[in-house]
Amino acid sequence: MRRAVALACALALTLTGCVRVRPHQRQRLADPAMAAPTWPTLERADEHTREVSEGSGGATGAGGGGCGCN
Amino acid sequence: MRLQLSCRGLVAALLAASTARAEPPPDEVSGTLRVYADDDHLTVVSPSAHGQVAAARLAVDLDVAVDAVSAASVDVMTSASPRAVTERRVEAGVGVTTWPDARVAVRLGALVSHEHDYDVLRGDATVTAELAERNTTLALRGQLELDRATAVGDPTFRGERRGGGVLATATQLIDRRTIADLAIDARLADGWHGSPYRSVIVHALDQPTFTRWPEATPAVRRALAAAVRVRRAIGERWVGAASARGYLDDWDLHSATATLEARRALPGAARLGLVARGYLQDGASFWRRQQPDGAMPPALRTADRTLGPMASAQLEVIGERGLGAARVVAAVGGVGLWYLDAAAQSRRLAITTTLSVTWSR
Repeated sequence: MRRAVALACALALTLTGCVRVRPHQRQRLADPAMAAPTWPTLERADEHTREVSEGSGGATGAGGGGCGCN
Repeated sequence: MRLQLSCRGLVAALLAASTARAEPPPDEVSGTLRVYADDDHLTVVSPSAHGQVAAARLAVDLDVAVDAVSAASVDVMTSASPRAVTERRVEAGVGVTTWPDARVAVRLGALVSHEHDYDVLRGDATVTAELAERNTTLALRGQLELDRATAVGDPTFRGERRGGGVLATATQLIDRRTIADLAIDARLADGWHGSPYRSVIVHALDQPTFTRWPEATPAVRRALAAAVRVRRAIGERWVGAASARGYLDDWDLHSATATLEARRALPGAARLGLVARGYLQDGASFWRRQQPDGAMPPALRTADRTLGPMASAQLEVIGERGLGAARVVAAVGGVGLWYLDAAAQSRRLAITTTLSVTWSR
């Protein structure tokens, strides 16, 4: 697991360094359906339900959630 | 009786809704009603309200939620109270977000939750930054929690747990249609982890009798979870998303989660969504279906079936439609839970129904 996390971090940093999507190229990324979460109220309620019925959790959030379109 | 909430749940439940974004949100108010009902005679009605208002470089958000629980489950019926129970949990949270820079947001939040035998106090701080011409969003959240439990029928019982955690997330634009997310979540909780209403049965050697012992778990639990998610626009109307999460802790519990989502834009500012989720976990090392016979119980013991091997599956259909200044979201979901080595009631089937209305300006 720790190796997987380290690999994922390295991959994320690599992607950060080489990808550029310009603002005028983000039309589809600005679709509200691309937001994470798309329906926060539902995701929140589902997580609440899972909390009392499953033995583990976490890492369910997303960074900015959006596309940086504004 | 603690039915609905733990500190870990509070953290998870708030992650989606309260992630500070590096831009002021629109003013909005929303109301939600959710009903959970399962074949274990457990019904939870959960009304909640959310509001947020922003001015210049400052925003305030408020949340209030109630869980009204009606249960006759084998989980919650104890030998001390072999009858149906009704309970209520009230939760309130507040957050303040400021933008010291056009690409940086800082949010401070606090939350309290109260049941007649369980209280939670939590605080968190989140810093969000947008980098590389807003191609990358990084967020770092730290949180501290305090849980206090008492027990109906036992005025001498006091259980307390202190915990904290760090969540680091990164969102990266991959191309014109694709966004990737990475989340790493580390948590530590120290104190009381059990339930005062559960007990472990230990049979006496060569005797037809048995004794009940209270649960005993390690005081400290350290957990690490990591998740990746990819979202992609497909054609002009579809969006697909896939995510995977791995979890491990020092109680030797491991789990894997996979989620697939599809969303489609419909005419008239409407959307339709479908979510499918699968979950699988092994058991904590000290969890046993049956405690070994003996005069004394094992040093570590629990009857919490959520710490044993289990699987779950969820399917949810979501519809959204704009009505003037309001947006209405309705969802119906089915959940199956299989406790693979539980002695009693190893399967649970549930239906969730949610209706939410949001007004924005």
